[in-house]
Amino acid sequence: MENDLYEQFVNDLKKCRPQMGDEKDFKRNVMRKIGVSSVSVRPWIGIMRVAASLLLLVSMVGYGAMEYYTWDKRLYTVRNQNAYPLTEKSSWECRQSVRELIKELSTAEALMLNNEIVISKSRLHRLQAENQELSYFVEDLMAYMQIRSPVDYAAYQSGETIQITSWKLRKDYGVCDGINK
Amino acid sequence: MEEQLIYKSKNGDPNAFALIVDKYTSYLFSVVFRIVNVEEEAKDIVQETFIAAWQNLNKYDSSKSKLTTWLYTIATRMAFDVLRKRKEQVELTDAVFTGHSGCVSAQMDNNEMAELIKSATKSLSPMQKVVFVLRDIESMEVSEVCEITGWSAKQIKDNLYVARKQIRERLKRLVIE
Repeated sequence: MENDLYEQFVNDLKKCRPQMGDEKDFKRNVMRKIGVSSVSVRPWIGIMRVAASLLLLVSMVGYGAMEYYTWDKRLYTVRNQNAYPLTEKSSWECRQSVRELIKELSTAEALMLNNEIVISKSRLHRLQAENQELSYFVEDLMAYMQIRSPVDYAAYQSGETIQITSWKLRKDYGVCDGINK
Repeated sequence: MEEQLIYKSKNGDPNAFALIVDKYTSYLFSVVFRIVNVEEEAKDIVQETFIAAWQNLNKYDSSKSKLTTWLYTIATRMAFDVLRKRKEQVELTDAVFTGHSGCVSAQMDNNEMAELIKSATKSLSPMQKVVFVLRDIESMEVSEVCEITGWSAKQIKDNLYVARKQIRERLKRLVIE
């Protein structure tokens, strides 16, 4: 009888499965809570996002700084390369000086050809005899030519005749640097 | 199919986990309710079970245990803790049980069932009650109960023996009265 009662009791309980009244609401609630907790479950995702943002920000600032630095460097380099600024070359004092120089050169018959000033090895020899002081100056001019205009200097060395103008003196040979110093 | 759901859930896909919740809610509720006998407490435990499962899915190894066993493990241990912490159980009068004529089966609602179990298992310890529900009502194998509860087979058999004996005595006494 005891066994019958026990078995009946157990069988009754087995047959009756407990039912949750509001199962849909319950499931929705569970998923809502999981949606909230999933953020706290993976805090490293948030940390990674912040870290990535910081990294991006630092990279952008670094890039900007690098750009500015290199721009500054480039500007500095350009300025250094352009060691003979046009303003100096074209300064009024220089123009005046070069004009005086041309005037001086034009007084030497050895350098004149069809009302133009020219230089060649033979003419320089003749100048030494005609006006030694001026010939020293022309030799200095040849030094400028050798540095600043190697093509003209090579032509001169090969025996060619080089025409001299105020423009060439100022722009090509950089005579103003010597004059203004 | 289930493997895919677990894999996706492990990768943080809430939709995949929603399907797991959908599938196992009633099973878990059934077991937990039969242990704690209070619907709201059972719902809370099932909810906490799913949240804990979601948070610890990466620790779940499908090669070691079935998903149901893993979920039952979480739920049963929570229910066991509730039983242990429950200091004042509602004392049901024997009249509730004597009113039960025998086979009411399908007509029993949750409250009637809770009262029936409570009155019959009143004198059981939490451990005996958990073993009785899992082994005799849920018809689980001893090995599975061992895995779920973490207790030894001997503990389970001993506790089940005592539980059955006490329930039989209680049923007999209630019928005689």
